[in-house]
Amino acid sequence: MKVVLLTIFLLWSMFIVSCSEIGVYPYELSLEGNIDETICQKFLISLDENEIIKIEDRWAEKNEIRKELVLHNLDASLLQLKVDYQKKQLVEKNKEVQVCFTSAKSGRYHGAVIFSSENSVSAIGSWVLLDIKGEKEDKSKNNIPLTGNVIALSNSYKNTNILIYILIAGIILCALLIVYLVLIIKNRKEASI
Amino acid sequence: MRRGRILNVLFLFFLIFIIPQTIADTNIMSVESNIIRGTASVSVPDTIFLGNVTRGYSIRSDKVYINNTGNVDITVTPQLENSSEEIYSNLYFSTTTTESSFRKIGNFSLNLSKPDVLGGVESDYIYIKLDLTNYNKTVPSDLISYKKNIRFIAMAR
Repeated sequence: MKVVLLTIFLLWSMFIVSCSEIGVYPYELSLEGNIDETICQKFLISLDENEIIKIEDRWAEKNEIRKELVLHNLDASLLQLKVDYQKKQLVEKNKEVQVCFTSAKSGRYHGAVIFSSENSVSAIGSWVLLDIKGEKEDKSKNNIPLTGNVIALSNSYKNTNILIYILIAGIILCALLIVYLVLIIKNRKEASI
Repeated sequence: MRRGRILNVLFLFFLIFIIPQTIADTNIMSVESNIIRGTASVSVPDTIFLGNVTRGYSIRSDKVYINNTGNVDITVTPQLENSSEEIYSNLYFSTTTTESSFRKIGNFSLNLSKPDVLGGVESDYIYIKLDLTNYNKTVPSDLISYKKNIRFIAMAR
């Protein structure tokens, strides 16, 4: 009887194979920064059901940027990199996971941030290229000096064409205003005469 | 005096109709489309059943299907969860059943192209072999499921 039940179970497990799907966005990214500057990036993880995911990071030798997982077997600490994230997280189908990178040395570092489902064999990774410049972070450099006459443009407002048109319209308006005032003054003078 | 009034009226007309029209003309026609972000996504069976095996023997799986469910070319690499694992380090992978084509875990990866249609699935299969023919130590327990012992890591190409 046990043998029959075991055979049925094995046949059942052979035919009913469940699959787990795991996805990540972005799947590769390039980040630039300075020494000791912390750069954070959000990854969107998607699963087909609620699960706990494990996160890990692996790195290739400095300046090695080939996208081959076998080359990525170094711990971040060996490269004086600090990678901060919560190692285990519950993902309810979709979740943004933040990972922060800090480097104590300049150079190009290529790594893989791997997200794996705890209850299945599937895992997905994202390539990370860190380009660290040889300067310490100077926060004052990032501040845009503002005066009363300066408009600091945000990155989202870069439509220069609209600006040019508004500038032209403004100039026309000013010119008309001047003409209008001149004419009023002239009229008043004529009226007074 | 009358000329002044006429000029005033003309100026107001200009101010009300011409200038707003000039500014309105600066509106640029926008082209809209839904750009779907590139996502790497993979689907692998939760459990891979190989059957019963003991030292001195090897066993090979049926086809194990791996699906690329994202929209980018990927490479799937099977790796051991624990690199010091003794039994599972004897896992071999291949895309064919030819004995010589099997590669040891760590030296094998499968390339999967992105699906032809957005939202589609691109599938390929591999064979897995657990080769204990040269394994000298005692097998501690039955090998039924490889769940939690190996991981299929998908990375964008």
